[in-house]
Amino acid sequence: MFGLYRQFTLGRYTKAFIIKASGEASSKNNLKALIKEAFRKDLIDGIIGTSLNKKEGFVSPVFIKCEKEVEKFEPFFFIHGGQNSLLKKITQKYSFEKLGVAGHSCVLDGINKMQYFGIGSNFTVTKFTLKIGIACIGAISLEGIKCLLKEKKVKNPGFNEIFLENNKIILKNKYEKFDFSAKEYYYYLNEGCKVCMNLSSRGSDITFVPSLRNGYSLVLVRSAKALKLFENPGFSVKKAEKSDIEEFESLAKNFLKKNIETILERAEFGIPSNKWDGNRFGRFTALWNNIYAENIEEEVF
Amino acid sequence: MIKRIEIEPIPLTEGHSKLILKVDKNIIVEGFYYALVPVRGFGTMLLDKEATFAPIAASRICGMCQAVHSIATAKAIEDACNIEIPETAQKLRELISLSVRAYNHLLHHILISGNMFKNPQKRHTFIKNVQKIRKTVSSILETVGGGIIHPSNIVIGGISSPIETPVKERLIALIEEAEKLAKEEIEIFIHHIERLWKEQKLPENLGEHKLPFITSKEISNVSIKEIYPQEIFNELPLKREATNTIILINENGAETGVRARKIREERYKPKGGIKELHKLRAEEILLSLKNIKRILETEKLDKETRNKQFPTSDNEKEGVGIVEAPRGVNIHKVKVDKSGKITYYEIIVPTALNMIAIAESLKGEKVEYAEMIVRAYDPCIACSTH
Amino acid sequence: MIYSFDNFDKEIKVKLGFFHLSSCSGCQIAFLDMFEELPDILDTVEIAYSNMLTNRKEIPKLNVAFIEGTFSIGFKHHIKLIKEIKEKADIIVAIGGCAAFGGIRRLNVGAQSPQPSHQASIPITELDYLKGKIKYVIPGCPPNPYFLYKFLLALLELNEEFLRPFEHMVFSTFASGYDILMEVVNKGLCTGCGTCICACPTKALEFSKRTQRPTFNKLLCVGCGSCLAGCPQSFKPYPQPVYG
Ligand code: SF4
Ligand code: SF4
Ligand code: SF4
Repeated sequence: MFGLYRQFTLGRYTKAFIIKASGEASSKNNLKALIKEAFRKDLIDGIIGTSLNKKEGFVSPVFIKCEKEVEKFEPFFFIHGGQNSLLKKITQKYSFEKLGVAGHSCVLDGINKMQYFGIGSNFTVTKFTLKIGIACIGAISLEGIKCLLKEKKVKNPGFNEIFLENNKIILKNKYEKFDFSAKEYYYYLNEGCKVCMNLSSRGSDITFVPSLRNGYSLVLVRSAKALKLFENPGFSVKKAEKSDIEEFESLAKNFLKKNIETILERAEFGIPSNKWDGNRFGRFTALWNNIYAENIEEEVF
Repeated sequence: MIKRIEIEPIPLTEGHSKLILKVDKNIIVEGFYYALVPVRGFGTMLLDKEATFAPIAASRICGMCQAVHSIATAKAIEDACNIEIPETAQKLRELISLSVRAYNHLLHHILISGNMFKNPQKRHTFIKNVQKIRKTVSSILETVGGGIIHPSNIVIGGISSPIETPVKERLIALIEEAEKLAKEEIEIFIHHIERLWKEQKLPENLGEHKLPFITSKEISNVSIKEIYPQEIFNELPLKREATNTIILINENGAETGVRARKIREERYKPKGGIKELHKLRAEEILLSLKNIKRILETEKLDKETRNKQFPTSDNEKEGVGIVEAPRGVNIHKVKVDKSGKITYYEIIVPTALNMIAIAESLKGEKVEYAEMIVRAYDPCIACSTH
Repeated sequence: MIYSFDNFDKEIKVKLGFFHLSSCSGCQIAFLDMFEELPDILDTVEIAYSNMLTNRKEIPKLNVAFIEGTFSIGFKHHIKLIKEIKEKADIIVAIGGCAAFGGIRRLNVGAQSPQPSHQASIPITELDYLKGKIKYVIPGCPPNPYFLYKFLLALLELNEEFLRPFEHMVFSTFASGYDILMEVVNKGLCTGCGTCICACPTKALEFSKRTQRPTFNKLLCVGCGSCLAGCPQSFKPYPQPVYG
């Protein structure tokens, strides 16, 4: 039997913390604090991320070269903005020694794939030292966000923040806060994300969950290197409670179930789902039926 | 009695080529060197295509002097379409050309090392050394050009991205390191060349010829004529086998490349022969690196680098792009029409120019030296069958 | 295992050969551009034939023959060479966009001096004569040195997981940026990560901020096949790298 066990939904992790940056409580500030810490501890000397450009209303990739530049960074979640299109320039031109990345699972998959195969990159790609995965319930387009807001009859659909709270997806602007259920949100999801099985960014050193609970966001630490971030950090950190983890887990499960439905629907019509063609679909079904036989960690969808 | 000898392929050179020698008592009376790679048709490939594609296609003429072709084609199109390019772009292009020059000469050392060392282990050590400098030089090429083998930053109207000051500083540090390594490498290389000459008792003036020299500076004042193998050879299959054309300068052959540059720029008095060619080529590596450093240190490279004007012209003006490639003068000629399509394209590469110089050098030498003479010119077959 | 080297023995180095058909030599130079990594590899493999690197006129028996460039139809030197390679090599690897998918050579029309009849250039993967002999295809124009390095390592270690996608690619004889549009974007699988843009050597693919999707300019595409091979939605590394 195939089960959505924790190891599958969240991936293997060694420690779970909740973190809170000083100042205004928001999940993007919490991520920024994490990145600043990485700069301070000299784990990275540059990092790529996705930033919201309020003036143009775009989400675009940014390359942050020092701690100071983190201030201007406006992390935005669930839109990728072609983050990896920066890689070529970064690996060829800047040649950093310790590169970081803060991205969703598919962005990390792109980088992991590059590191593994080396297609379209030079040796510099091996210099990614810190991968901050962002837990993702699926990407949405800017227009999708607009439609969501219009559904709530918001006249002027401006927003500058998106995060998870209380099993809901929250869109926020300066004055107001709107919440959406998984069901509402799922409808506007990017088709490609409706077949994703890696919501928790498994191929990372650390996964940041863009959630907020009393000002705290959840992080799942996967590698020893990432653990360094939590030694005397510049943000407040606590051990994650069972309920913190379960909150995200249940939301992720919710999405995964829907995704599995979509995959089966696609399979029925013979439409390929991501990351496997006929052959790989075989692997999926093998896994589906033999969950105990294979080491799930090594099998990535 | 005159014998005919064919040598094919010529190992330790790029591509597939052949030598036909007429020999009398082991001495070459007449020799022809020509390419055997099929004509690749870059000239006709570009006809009726958009001009913006030209730098990308031209780069793929050759995997060694790639950027030089891209720059030549971009220059030709800019000339045809009256596009002015920013000064920074010009400097960056010069930087790229110079890195390509050093990169190619070093590559040639790797090829030639097959001739210099009998012991594979010694050759291995030598190559390891060369690789170290090649790595630094190539990272300059990669940083500025956006790729080592087919750099994509060379576009019509300039270069697609500037070099910021911190990047520049990193490059300067790299080049200083390369300079140090290069000094050593050149010494080693020249030492081995001298040793080779001594060991094999090669004549000092091996491969001498009486032809004039030509660089890109004088090329606009001379007559250029392209001749086909069909005109030179009388017998089949020769005239249908050779896949390169040969270029005549003022109805005569000429040598282009490193020696010509040295003569033109430093009023150097050539001694003649291929040993000199090897030495000059080695020395030019350091010179190129010095010039790269000078550009990096004195120029501001973070300004506007691209004129985004769309390339169109009147279909009348012939744009000419001349670049001093590692092996000599490289010319691309183009006409562009109002819609931005290419209506005429011609490419003249240095190896086609040097074909006569190679033939002249072969004359009067012993047969066993023939391959060595050819190698000394670092012929690029990919280019000559463009 | 899908292939075995003749007389494979730990003591005997794996013999590689490099061959050049109608091409720019860039792929072979990309191999040299492994720089410091190259000598390391040379400890376990031997470059037994390469017109550029070995002083040899005869082709010896080879374990792996890397062929770059397209086959020129009717060109007698190519016919002779292909026959000889088929006989002497255990397996063939088509290296680079030209040999694998035709690459820029697909645009060749001939009619150029001095041999206007050289007009038809096809990738070696299209030759029925070599069916079964060509085991792998390496996309890229040129393939990245790092990629070649990883590929060689995988070949020596017989790392099937790594090699499998490249084994499948033998059956595609054409590639272009349309693959990205057709197989990923059009199938609703694109997530907007931008990896394909980074893989493209000609800037034919660019990222549209407005639509969060790659855009394809067919004018600039040289058909190298990097983009689809690079996209994380096409195939994935198994197992995924483990961190620690
Ligand atoms: S794939 Fe590219 S680099 Fe390789 S031979 Fe063809 S044009 Fe040259
Ligand atoms: S779009 Fe770019 S990467 Fe894709 S096949 Fe064309 S040139 Fe290659
Ligand atoms: S690499 Fe990323 S952006 Fe490109 S097609 Fe694939 S999923 Fe989309």
